Amino acid sequence: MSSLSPTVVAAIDDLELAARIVVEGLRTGGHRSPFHGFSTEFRQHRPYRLGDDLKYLDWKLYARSDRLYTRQFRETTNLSVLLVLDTSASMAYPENGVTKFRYAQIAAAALAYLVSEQGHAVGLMTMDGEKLSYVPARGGRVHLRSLIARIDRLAPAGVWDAPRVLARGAQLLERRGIVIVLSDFYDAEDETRRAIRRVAGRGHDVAMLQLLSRDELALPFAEHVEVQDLESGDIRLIDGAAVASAYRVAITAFLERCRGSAFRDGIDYSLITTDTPPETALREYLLKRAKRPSPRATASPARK
Amino acid sequence: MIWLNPWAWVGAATIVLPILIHLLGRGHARAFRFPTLRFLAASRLLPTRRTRIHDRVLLAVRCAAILLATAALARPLILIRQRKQSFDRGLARAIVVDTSASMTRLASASSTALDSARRDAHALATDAAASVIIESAHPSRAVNEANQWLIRQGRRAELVVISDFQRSSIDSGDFAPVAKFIGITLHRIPTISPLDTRAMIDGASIEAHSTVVGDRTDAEWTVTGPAATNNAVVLLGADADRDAMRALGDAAGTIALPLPIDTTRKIAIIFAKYFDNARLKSQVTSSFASWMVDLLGTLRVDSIPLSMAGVANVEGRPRLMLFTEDAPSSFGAARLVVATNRATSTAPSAGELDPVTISDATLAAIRRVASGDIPTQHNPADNNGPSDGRWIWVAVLVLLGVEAVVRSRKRGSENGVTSSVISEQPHAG
Repeated sequence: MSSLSPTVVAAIDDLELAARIVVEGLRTGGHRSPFHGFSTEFRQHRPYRLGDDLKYLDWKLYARSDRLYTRQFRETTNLSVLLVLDTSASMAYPENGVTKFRYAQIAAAALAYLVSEQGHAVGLMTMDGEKLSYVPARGGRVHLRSLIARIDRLAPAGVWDAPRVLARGAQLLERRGIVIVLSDFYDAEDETRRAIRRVAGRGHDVAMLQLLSRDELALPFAEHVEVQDLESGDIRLIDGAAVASAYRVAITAFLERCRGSAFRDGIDYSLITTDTPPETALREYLLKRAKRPSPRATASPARK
Repeated sequence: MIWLNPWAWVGAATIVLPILIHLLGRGHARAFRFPTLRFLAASRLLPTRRTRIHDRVLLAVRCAAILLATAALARPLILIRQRKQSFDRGLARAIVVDTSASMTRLASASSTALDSARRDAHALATDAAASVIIESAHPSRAVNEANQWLIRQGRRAELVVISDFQRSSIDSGDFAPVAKFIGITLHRIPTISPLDTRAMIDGASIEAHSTVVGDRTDAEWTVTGPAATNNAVVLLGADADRDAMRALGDAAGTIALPLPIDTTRKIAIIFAKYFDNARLKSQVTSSFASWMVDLLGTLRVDSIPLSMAGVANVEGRPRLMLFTEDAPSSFGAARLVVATNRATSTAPSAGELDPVTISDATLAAIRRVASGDIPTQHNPADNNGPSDGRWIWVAVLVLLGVEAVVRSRKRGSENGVTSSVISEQPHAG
């Protein structure tokens, strides 16, 4: 089955239906779900390291072998996924065609659908105007529909306080889970990076899905134009032909910084352009995620 | 096709305006929305002048619209047959018919050139609102008279000269006094026979012979037989001046060319002291024959003063009566008699014997169309209805529509490549 173009998917008014179509497209690939839950099922022993919780020491084994081992478990509780959606005005681009925001809505709904269908909990953290908007991570079809409806009602406007949204979202996530950020990351770069690092430091599995349009990768202006910033409203007079090369260098460097910092911090990162079919983009992200070892499986014992 | 308002073509110079505006105008920076300006450095010298032509199609359409609008303002009129007749009915036309000896040649098997000229003149006069036909053996001399008459008409005017246009019969200098608004048409009557150089006048045989040598023609007359000489001009004066008048007649006969005269041309010169002078003056009329007009024109050209001229019937034949204040013994009287004698000569002039005619190219250079720009309040279009400019205005409107389409397509293509213009797309949020 060939992937539906973003334009076709975005043309579907019913976001839930669009999400289902995307998920169906994902399934045809025959890949197993990359969202593995945690369980209390015993998995393995590993040598005790200073700082490990003593209650996970296997005293019986110590008695037999005179060595300290810590027990590791699979978490049995459902996985919690928090979708963090950028609602800044810069996401309302391009104005002709599928905007980054609509693309993000579809991707978020598809992820929510996928996660919920596998019995996990999914929630939403974003900004609605000046206020934070939070939907706690829960499972169930009713919750999923409510969540998708909430996503559908969102509209891009103003600026997005990414550090605040991320910090609050990580704080409200009741247990360690997956935080998926869908944004163009045109915000306070360093602060956002630090916020993401802090979220990861709290034990959450963070994924950065950076959404951009093709026009943003290669400046679309070839003549003298006045360019207005979608977020600030500032206007700048530019010679498109003259600044194009410098622009490409600058945005490439920006993307490289995003990718590099994510790599250093052990964060999943995917650059998605809005001309890519949503299921293709999500499949690549999920495959990439599935191939790497689960941080929870190798880290210190994780539990609810 | 003619242009009722040809001066409007000066407006065609405005075609440079869109080109200059295009080249000199600074490019208008259009506004677009973009997610962020953080990677865009402001340019310094913006916007700059264009150095070459962009949007050639758009520019061509605009220039064409200006040219067509200018053409419409110039009020073109396509002269189809019916419209030409209607157009001519608003025209004053003076027609000068060449009656010189060369016009006695055959223009067809059954008619002379003069007959054809008179027929054509009549047809032209019928088409015009006002017309006059001037017959003259010297068309160049009649041009000025025709010019004065046309100016007095105060409407669109045309001067027509119908002639065989022998060399030296007329040239562009003869038309210099013609007012600028008067059109000039030179209508040639082609001849098919050579000039009959033999004539019998009152028993005298006259034979003329011409030889073309380069750009000149030599003429020679041979007279045989008893020619009537100097008896066509009667001198009437006081009895006291009888001797003076006889001497004057003899002297004039000696000075004048020894050619036979046309005795059918009766002329009387009346001196001031003739006893019946007043009665004759009161009896004369203005019914001049063409040869009389020619004679009077010759006298005027030679600056020979006359107190009065008229026509009187003497023995059932018209006689030209020339009244002079000069005494019979004066030099002025001698000039008058000599010139009169010469004018009565039947011998063709050297010009009449010239077989070479003025080229068509030379005639074409003299021709011009009657202008509507006459020095009166009369509007020639009032008599001719609207011009065909309205159709050109329709074409101008079509071009303006095309221009709008081309402009919008250009804008649309730009939007397709980039993003929408701010003024056209409200903020999505």
